[in-house]
Amino acid sequence: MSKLDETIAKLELDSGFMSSVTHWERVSATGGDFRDFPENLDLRIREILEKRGVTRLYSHQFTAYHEVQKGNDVVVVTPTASGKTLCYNLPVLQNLLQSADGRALYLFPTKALSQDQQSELNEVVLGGEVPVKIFTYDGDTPSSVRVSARDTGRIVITNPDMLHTGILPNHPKWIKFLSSLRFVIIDEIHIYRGVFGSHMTNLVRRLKRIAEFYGSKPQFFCSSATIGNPLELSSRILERSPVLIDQNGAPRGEKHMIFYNPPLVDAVQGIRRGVVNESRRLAVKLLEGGIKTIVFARSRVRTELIATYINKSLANIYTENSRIRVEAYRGGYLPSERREIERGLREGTIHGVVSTNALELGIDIGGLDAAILAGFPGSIASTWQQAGRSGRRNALSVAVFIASASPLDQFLIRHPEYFFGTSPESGWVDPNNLFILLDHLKCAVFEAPFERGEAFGEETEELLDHLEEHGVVRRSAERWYWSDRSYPSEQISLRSATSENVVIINQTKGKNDVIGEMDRVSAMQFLFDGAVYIHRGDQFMVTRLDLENHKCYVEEAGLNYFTDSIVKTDIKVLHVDSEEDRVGMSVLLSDVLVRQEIAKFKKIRYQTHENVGYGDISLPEEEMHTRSAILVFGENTRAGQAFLGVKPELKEEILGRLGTLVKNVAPVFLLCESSDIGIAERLKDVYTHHPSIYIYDMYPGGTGLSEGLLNNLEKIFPACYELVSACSCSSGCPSCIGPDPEDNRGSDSRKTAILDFLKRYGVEVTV
Amino acid sequence: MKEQGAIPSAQPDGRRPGKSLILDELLPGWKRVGDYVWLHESLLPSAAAPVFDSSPLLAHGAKAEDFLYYDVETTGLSGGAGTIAFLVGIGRAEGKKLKIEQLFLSDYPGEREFLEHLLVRLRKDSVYVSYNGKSFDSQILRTRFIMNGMRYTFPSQLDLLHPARRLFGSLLESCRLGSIEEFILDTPRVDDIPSSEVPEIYFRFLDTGDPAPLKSVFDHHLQDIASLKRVLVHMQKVLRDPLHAHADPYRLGRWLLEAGYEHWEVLLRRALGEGSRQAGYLLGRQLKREGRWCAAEALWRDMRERLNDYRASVELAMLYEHRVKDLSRSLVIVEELIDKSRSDGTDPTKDRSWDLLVHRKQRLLKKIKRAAKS
Repeated sequence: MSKLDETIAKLELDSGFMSSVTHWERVSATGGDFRDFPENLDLRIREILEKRGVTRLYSHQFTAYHEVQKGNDVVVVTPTASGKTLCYNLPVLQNLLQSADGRALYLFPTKALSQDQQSELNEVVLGGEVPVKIFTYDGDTPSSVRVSARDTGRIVITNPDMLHTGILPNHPKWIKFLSSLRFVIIDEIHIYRGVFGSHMTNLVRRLKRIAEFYGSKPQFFCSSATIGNPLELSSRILERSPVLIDQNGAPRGEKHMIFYNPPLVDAVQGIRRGVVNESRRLAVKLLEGGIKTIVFARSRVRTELIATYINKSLANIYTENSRIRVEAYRGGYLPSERREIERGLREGTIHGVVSTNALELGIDIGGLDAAILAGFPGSIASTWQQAGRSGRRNALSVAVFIASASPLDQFLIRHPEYFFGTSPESGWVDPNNLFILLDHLKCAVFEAPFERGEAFGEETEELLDHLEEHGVVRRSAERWYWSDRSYPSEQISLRSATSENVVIINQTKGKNDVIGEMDRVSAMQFLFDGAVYIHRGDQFMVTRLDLENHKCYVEEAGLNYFTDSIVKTDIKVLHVDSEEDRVGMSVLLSDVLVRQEIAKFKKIRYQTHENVGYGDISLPEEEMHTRSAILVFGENTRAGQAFLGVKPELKEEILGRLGTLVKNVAPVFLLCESSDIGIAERLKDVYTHHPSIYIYDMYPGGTGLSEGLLNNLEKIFPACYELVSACSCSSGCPSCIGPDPEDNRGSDSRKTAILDFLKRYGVEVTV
Repeated sequence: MKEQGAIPSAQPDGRRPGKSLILDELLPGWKRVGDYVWLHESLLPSAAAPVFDSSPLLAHGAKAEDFLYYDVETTGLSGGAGTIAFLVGIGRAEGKKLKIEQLFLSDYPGEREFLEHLLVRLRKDSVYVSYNGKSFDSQILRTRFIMNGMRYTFPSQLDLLHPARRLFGSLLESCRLGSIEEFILDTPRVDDIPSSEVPEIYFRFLDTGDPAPLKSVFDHHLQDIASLKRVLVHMQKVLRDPLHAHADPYRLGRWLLEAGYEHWEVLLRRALGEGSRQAGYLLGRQLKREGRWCAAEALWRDMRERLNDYRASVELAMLYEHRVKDLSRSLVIVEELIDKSRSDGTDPTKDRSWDLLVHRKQRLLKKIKRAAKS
């Protein structure tokens, strides 16, 4: 019997534990499907693989190898730890070894993943005598290395942002690389959904166009974590028809998935034990049993808290347990620290890790036995991905989902069938979104003039003429040329969040050490003057946040509390472009200023999590200028009349739920992610003076989502009605109007109230 | 469509300025050499060519007629595939004159032709002289050649920006060519346009077809190339007679020393006299390397006494301990340094050099004890 077997058996007998378990799912083991190495595989590669103990391939690796050899584009979708990277590394290395000058471009969504891939490849390449030069090319690459990366790199690993602002606009510097570009690898393609995905499609268009300029026609290889529509998503991003490989040939051990709802401490008020302490208790139990455990927390602060608590609990035991090493892991650590923790996990010197979703992606940390999800990660796909982090080849594993008090978590814990019965979220992109297309068309003209008849997305000539009217493009002799002094890609960000980072400097006792970094927006929330910053379990206090110079100074501290800022968001209408009566309500399209103000923070005592004081924060407001659609339920409109019929005490909540509903439905029509849009509901809005719902674009300046919403209004409300009425839940669930914490039925049911409202408003007639 | 300007166009798409552009009526001297390519030749009176013998600038020297001065005007300053060079100028010495050829591209479709005209003028055996040409002008041209399916590799270049920084950097607020002309050559430009305005003027010309405003760009560009020669001649003069040059003595001295030329010692001493400790350190290091211990001792003593210099004191302590073998003199200096670190208000133990001082003191005491025994 393994240690995990024993622990699971113990848990099953623990009536205290079991009384909080709402569901226990056993997923049985499956055997692997193996193939011998392909016959023509280069001997040097075969030797290295054998040295690393690989003597056969999984069926999906074998299939991928042959599809690439046939010249096909490929998309591979298999679970975590199924040897996905070998699917492309094998055929790529084979081809690069057999041709004298073939090159491959690897695209990863983050720098951390690029570095991980570089070390993985180095192991393969340096492990033997494989003469393939590999470079990581990103913002951190020193300029002395850049030249050799461009000229001698056979594999260049980078990210979309660098391709967008660094490589493509300077493609003549990459002439050697691009003229012999044979493969483009896009890993973690499921990340490229919504607006980010639309940017990615256009980036791929630009890359193909420039490759063609140098006479090369690379094959594309995508890999993805579990999502609803991998083939569709990759076909849309590549605008080609890749071959889908989704038959996993890797063996899988038995897996237990346990749904755990922390016990009530106050049954009257429905207060449960907190997710942080419950995760700690369970993690300590597992770690003491010698089980390698990963805990996924929902925020950076929680990650540090849980790790600190676990280490404290372990240190208090006068046994061998204090030798158990547990680390926190999250974005913002120095790259060297992250590498050290990853290595420790792989080599077994670190036994437990508490992480944000940073470890959800394909970073190699070896096999773990148990995963604890401290709160629902927000999507079905992420939940599977995190749960999949436990489980080595053929061995038993366990994943425990610990519900927080949020309505969403409480819904899932009561309805595990929803989780197991719902397929993972699908990803959509809208590459011909006018805003995004136009932005990338500018970049594309900058990169090379357009010939008459050349297509780039839709309506290329019309758009080029439009750019000419704005004076940035010049048409001459049947060609369009870039005719502006600016460098367009610099002004176009592929992501909603800025990449500007604040560096955290420890100045304790005259030191001056950089200990970490954080993006600007988060820094304002977590690194204000007086904030407690926890870094790998060590506590620091922020002495000064210097936003202007991107620096945050901290000193070691020994306080009994941590801090949490209170963020207020408000929206100011700057300018209304249009106002029309549509679908029985008035609809405004406007420029808005979304302001985030962080003026206060709470001090929260460790362990008990009670509030022990407040502090003031003096930081500038963070402002985003963007576009918004505003749906106004004025009294003289059909929707307004219908809203008057809602019980007064339910009005605020029903408006909020309508917002949730629109946020759930709109992405289907707008081909975006629901995180691409922001929603704010106002019962009595200061601008419109009526109940209003703001639906705004989360990208600064807007990417056309508000306009798209207006164009689809006729479809959106009927779809909302259909969704709610057809939803099998009894009183609301995450898929429709959001879960109801009290499971109200009958006349109090939010679900009924919304359906009634929609009926009165008259929406079902149009279905 | 923006239909304005004086000259009608024969272009089917009606955009100006087309093949029918007439530059020479408004701007005399410009000759059409291609559909969209224009050439202007100037012969400027120029200072007699000095002797370009071996110097830190050019180890092997060169003949005056070997130099090729070049400069490029572009549609943007950030580089990249979408930045075009629309004006390239090349200057060469012809007897006592400087001959400058300017090539002008009057619209994008002529770029290939424009580059071909340029290519025949780029002689490989020349010494290419530019101002910031290494990282800008030559990179832009390289990109343009590639964009048009052509290849050109620049031979080694003499980019005057770098020596200008060494010689005059500390004397000037900026090392722009204009500042060198104004403050070093003492010939400020009149009626010149700032380089940053050049792209707008070109775009306006493309829009309107009116070539008149281009005159300011052409003049500016011509001056830039003529200046290259004057700056080069001036630098050569400075380097041949460094002791009488108006230049930063420390950086000039360091350069001469690194490149293996004489006069560095006088210059470094002059710089030290003006308060440059850097000059003192460099001089000390070099004296040590050459084994000129007496000179080194005098230097460090002077720096210690006059500037109260920490590093010089440490050097002196080392000299007395290892070279002169005067342990007690060395100890006096070390103890004084320790006292000083204690009294300056900060915690001396956090400083890495503190450990070294304490260690040195202990070693000296041990050596003194041992010497006393024997």
